[in-house]
Amino acid sequence: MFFINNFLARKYMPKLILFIEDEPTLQKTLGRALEQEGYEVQSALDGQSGLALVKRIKPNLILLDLILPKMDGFAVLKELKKDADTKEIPVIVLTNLESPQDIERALSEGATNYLVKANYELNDVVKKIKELV
Amino acid sequence: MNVTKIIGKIPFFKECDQYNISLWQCPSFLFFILGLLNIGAMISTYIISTRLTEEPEITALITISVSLVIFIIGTVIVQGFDKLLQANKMKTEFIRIASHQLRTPLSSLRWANDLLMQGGGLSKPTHEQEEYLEIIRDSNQRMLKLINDLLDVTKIEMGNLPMELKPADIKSVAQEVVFDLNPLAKANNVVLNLKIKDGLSLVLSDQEKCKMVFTNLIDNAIKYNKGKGSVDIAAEKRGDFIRVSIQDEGVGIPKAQQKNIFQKFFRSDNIMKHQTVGTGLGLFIVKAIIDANKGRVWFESQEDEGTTFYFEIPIAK
Repeated sequence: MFFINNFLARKYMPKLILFIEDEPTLQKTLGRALEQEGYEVQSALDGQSGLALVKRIKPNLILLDLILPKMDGFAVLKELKKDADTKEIPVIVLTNLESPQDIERALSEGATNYLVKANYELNDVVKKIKELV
Repeated sequence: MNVTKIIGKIPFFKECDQYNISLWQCPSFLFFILGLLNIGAMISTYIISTRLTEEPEITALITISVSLVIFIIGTVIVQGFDKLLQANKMKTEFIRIASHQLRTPLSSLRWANDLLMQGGGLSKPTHEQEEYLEIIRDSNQRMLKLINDLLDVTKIEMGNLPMELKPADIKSVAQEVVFDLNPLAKANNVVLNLKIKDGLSLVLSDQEKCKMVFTNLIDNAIKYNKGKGSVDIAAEKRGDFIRVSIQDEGVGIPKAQQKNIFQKFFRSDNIMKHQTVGTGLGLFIVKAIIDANKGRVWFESQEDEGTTFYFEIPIAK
């Protein structure tokens, strides 16, 4: 029974996205655009509460900024990938850092995709998300 | 080369590796070399001075004064390099700050504006409102481009322009750019003619960077047209290279200023009269990318008749 419920939930419930980002304006704009596409969006404004929220709500996808108060994105990513419960959740790093060292580090620690905010239109970001969930 | 790389990994010298400073400019490494040199000098002056004089006091005096002189000169030099390291550190920090702190509010602006323009569940803007939203979008994009260009220039100057060389199809790159720039061309009464044939060999290049080269060159060709005209984009195989040409019917580059055209922040006099928008960074970036791609870039130009830019990049094998 549990499995069937779980299956139905997965199939018909709106997909849940957690957006960990300290800039409220970005939260608001991207959040709205994603809701328009039928996603449910939860937000966290710092790394620590973001990590706690992941464990509680089990999102289908995580959008993660790298420069965050309390705990930076790299540390959040590391914790996520260490935990068997959260390891499989795809993570898109959404940041404005773009040095090759940062990109390489994020990808090697398990990020699925790396997007530089300033280089993408809102629609393009939504498109990249749709490719994953 | 290999030895210096290995030394660069030693924690003591890691700071220099991190900030992209060559080993011979690295203060901590130089200080280490200076120490070795000083020991060597002490031993050799001791040996020489024992042969010249029997008095141990004089031997000691000569040895000490020679090593003191070496030490003072060395310290002064090392201090100079230390300043260089600090400057480089500041540049790296600047890049981080500019890329994050300046671009974050600009991204917010861009996305909020995108949302307003699409409607996004809000009421759709009227035609008149849309015009103003477009003004915001264009200015926002200009500012982002300027910051991105400045960041690229800083990276180039630090010898840190990342290139990911892979086989790429020059025609599809050019097509993408022509598609992106078509609205700008139309606004300037310029026709873009893409004359690249199918089936050209793949080049070995960085797709994104290659796109930047095309964008900068075609953007210039459009902007410096005289109100109307056409831009021809062609490519052909030349030995082991693909040669691309971008030809305009624009204002041309005055003979006297042709030698400066690839310099950073340079803009020719006749262009300044014609078109004030621009930073003079585009061609500097183009040249740096093509150089890093093991190719070459040059041009032919006649004032008032037009300019053709050429670049060659190697074919992928």
